[in-house]
Amino acid sequence: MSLDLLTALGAMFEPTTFFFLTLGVFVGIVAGAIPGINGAMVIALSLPLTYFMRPGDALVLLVSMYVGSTTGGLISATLMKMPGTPAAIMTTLDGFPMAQRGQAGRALGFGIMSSFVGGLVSWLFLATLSPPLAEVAVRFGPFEIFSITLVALMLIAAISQGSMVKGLISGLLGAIAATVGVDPASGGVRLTFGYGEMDAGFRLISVLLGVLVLSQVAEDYRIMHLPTEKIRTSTRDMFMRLSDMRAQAWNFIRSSLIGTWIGILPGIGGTTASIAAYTVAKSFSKRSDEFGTGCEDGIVAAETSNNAAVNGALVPLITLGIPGSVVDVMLLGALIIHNLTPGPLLFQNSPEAAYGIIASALVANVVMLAMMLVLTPYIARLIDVPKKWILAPVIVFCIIGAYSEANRFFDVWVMLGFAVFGFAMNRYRIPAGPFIIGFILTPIAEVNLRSGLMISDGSFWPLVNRPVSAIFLVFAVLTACWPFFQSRLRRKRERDAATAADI
Amino acid sequence: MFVFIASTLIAALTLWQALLLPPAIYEPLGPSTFPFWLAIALFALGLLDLADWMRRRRTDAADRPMAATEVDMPGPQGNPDRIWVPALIGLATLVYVAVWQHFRVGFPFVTALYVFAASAPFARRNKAELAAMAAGALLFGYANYYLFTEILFIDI
Repeated sequence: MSLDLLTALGAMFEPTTFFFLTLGVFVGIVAGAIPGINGAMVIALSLPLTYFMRPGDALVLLVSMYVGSTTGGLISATLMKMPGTPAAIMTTLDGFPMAQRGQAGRALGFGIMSSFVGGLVSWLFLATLSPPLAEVAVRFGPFEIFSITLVALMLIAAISQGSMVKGLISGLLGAIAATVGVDPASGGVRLTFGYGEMDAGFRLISVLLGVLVLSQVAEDYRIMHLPTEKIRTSTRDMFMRLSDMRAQAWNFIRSSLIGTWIGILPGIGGTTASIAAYTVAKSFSKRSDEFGTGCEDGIVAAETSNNAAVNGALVPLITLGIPGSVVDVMLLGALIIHNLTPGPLLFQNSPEAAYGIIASALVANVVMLAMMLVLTPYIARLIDVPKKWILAPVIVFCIIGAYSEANRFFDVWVMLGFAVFGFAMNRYRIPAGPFIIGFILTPIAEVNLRSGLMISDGSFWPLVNRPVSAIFLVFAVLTACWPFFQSRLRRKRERDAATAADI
Repeated sequence: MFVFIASTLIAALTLWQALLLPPAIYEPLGPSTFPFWLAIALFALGLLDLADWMRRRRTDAADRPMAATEVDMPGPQGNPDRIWVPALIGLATLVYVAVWQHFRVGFPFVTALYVFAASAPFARRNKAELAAMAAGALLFGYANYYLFTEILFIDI
């Protein structure tokens, strides 16, 4: 362990920093536990408040919220059959049936310990991979950065599977929204329709709050009348036994590795990780027929992987400046707000920030374990707070958040516009994640390609004759083509099956 | 169908604005290249979505799953007709922001009024809950005014 990391770990226990860390974990868990108020929302809401904090404390707060919210989702997933965060969706399949059988404490205990193990294993990868990866990435030129960004954008297509087209449309809409305002290379304005207020473009905070938070608030208002079933819990059986841990050891490791790897891939988050780990666990388990009826293996796979994805997603963020998930976009925003340059130079220019992120991910994970084991029954009661009391204040916080960045009402109107846009996207099942990823990555891709072309006198040749760039470019093309092949293969299989049935 | 119409419209507007931009002078690509090609790609994908929609209508196939990214929610639940609820709240929000921006009637009061207006209809005429909501809204308005102006120094 490097001295920088040890120093950063020590700094986590300074009173102010530890206060923000604990606060972040607690707020994250509560937000994650309340269906309809997820981690992305609460982090987006907190972003404007971090303007007034020290950069280190701001990052600690946001990372802790990220860790807390990912775990908090399992409380409502288990007790209400409603995932507090989308990443907990697979937990509902086995958590709720267990709770119905009177094993709520045991289900939560498995989920909590799995979250901790997933976070711990993936943290080891975060701590060991990030510094050397950043050293390699420092040598990357604009063509390499462009190719990596292209891979991230193309992964949107790969993860979209059946609705690949809608995922790509969402990403492109985000990309177009990012091109509004001052052109980063020439300095001229574009796509403003001659409206002066748009010269500065759409601010990240307005887009995030509109597309992610307000659109979800609107959806929550629409479904507020739906009844929910809730099961009470206690701390009984919440501590996982050693024999259970031994039985789940391989599931822990496998799901942690899946979660970490999926988290590292830019643009894919905990939801995909938990689906993948759950599917793999089911196919390997001796009790595969019990999955979906209250099987501990399912909870372990889902919760280990979605928490592992949190730390995995931090790897591309701090080494390349490319967000691994939507929440990482907000962390990226926090770095920029505090004048820290995201990417490989972060380790050179601001090691305290880079190692601070890594250290806070570990300490937040430990605090999360303690807090969840002790406070879960009490936090479960907070889920009872009716949404009618929460939603209007959330809207007010969004409005103040959008306004406070530049004291401009224009940003508030932009946010409201994006809220309508986000709500429409949700109605037509267009995912919001690729929109945000497209919005944040397009300027990076454009600036790097244009500066690379200026260096190469307009030649695109370095994109393919520089090895790293070429590898990523090939990967981007394969990633883009894979869903088409997959779709063709599936149709062929369906046709073959239909022919066989006819015979 | 809606996705195709909306993406075509946005692509057309982007293309129109991109074509108005000056050509590149000091660099190979210029400011219009990215928006131009993004608009073309959006239009092409809109067409693909239209083809997919027509195919699904023909085969009556179920809607396929959406991208599983971190903030994506499952498809809309509940009664789709209840869209008027967020529409009314949206309208109240527009009025709230407009009043705050143009009339400067005071953040605490207008915020309290808005929070009460956006919560009270869900109290179902329960007088005790309505009274609690009114008190909560007033407290929220004034507490936030103090928080943002006196502690965080935001000019609201």
